[in-house]
Amino acid sequence: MSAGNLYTLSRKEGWRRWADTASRTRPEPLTIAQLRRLGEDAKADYDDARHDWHANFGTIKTPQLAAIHDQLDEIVATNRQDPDRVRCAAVIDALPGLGKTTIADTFARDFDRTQRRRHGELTDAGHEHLPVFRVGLSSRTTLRTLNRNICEFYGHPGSDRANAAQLASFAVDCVLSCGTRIGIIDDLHFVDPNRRDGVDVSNHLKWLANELPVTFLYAGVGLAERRLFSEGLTGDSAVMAQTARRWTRLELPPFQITDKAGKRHWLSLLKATERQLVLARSHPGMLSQLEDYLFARTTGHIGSYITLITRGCYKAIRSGQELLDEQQFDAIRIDEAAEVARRQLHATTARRHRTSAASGR
Amino acid sequence: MAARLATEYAALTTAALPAGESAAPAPLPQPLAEPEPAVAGGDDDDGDLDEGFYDDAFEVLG
Repeated sequence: MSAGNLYTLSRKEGWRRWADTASRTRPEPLTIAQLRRLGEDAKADYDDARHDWHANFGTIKTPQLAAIHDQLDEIVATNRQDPDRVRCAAVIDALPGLGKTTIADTFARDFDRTQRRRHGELTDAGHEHLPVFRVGLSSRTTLRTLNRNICEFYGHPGSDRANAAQLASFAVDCVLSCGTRIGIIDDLHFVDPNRRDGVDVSNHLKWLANELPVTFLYAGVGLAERRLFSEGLTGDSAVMAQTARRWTRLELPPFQITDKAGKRHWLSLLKATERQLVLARSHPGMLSQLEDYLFARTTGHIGSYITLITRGCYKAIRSGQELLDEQQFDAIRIDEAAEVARRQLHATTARRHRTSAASGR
Repeated sequence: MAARLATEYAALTTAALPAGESAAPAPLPQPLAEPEPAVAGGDDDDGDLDEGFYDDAFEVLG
């Protein structure tokens, strides 16, 4: 793992680097005999390249991703109102592990590339052209930390030593000077509408949306349940009701295999993944013949699925098995939510088997 | 000189062969190779095994 690959999308340098980096090249698949002919160092380098590839082989264009990209495109493309009018925001609201952040980031990356290609690397006034800013919230985000996060993305020198109001002013300057058009605010669920500072942050987001010619793209977990944009709120929470009128909520469902279309999509995901893998004993059907098993392990959550595949590939290479199968996957633990769901599913299946065996006697 | 030698060589070798057979030397016996498993095909792999198998796979974005 090269130290040069360590960067964050929450700084303009990291975002720019990610946006400008060309797709990785897939390592050439070798056969078992070819692997054996490699020297020790060459084998280690080849394996390292494969580990890197399996962790980064690109984003699979699932129907969920395509649908949300289409809706985001529509929202951003129509948000051309003059500054005296309010622009709408988009909110990707879903459970963890369904790819909210990936969807937001990949959409914004394409937008960033297009804008810089069309309008250049500098603004008319000679500032750096940064079509997108991106910040991730943390627990107990306050007004000041939100503003500081935005300033830190742009590398504003006053980020560390200013009060909330000054930071807000710096943030507005950065956005306007750099020609930013999309602002990603990830992990919005850290804003708690039941706390005073949560209401302050929500108010501030509304103020930013009013002040800036930017389409805000929020992502978070269970935002509807948190009543972050519930309609009909009154009194102290009236600001939330106003938010509900300005935000378009985009849902992101997990894969399901309860009907034919769902099964077809799940299979298409497995095939897309399988085709990317670089294992010497990989073969067509290696993953797709495990469709039920893989669904049980991940409950259709793409985040859990990709983790399982990445760790499986690592293990397959390290062990020399060069193949993914049920036995290999069984030895891998992934996120706790998936493991709990897996245990529940196994318990249900075992109960069903016992019931059918008893009724068959 | 070379042309004459080639003609003589051709006459010599074809004369000893039954009609319809080539004078080309027989291929050397190859060492037994370990059978190699199929490798999953990428976009550039034109192997027969995965032909059409991945047609319904989702696209992967760069």
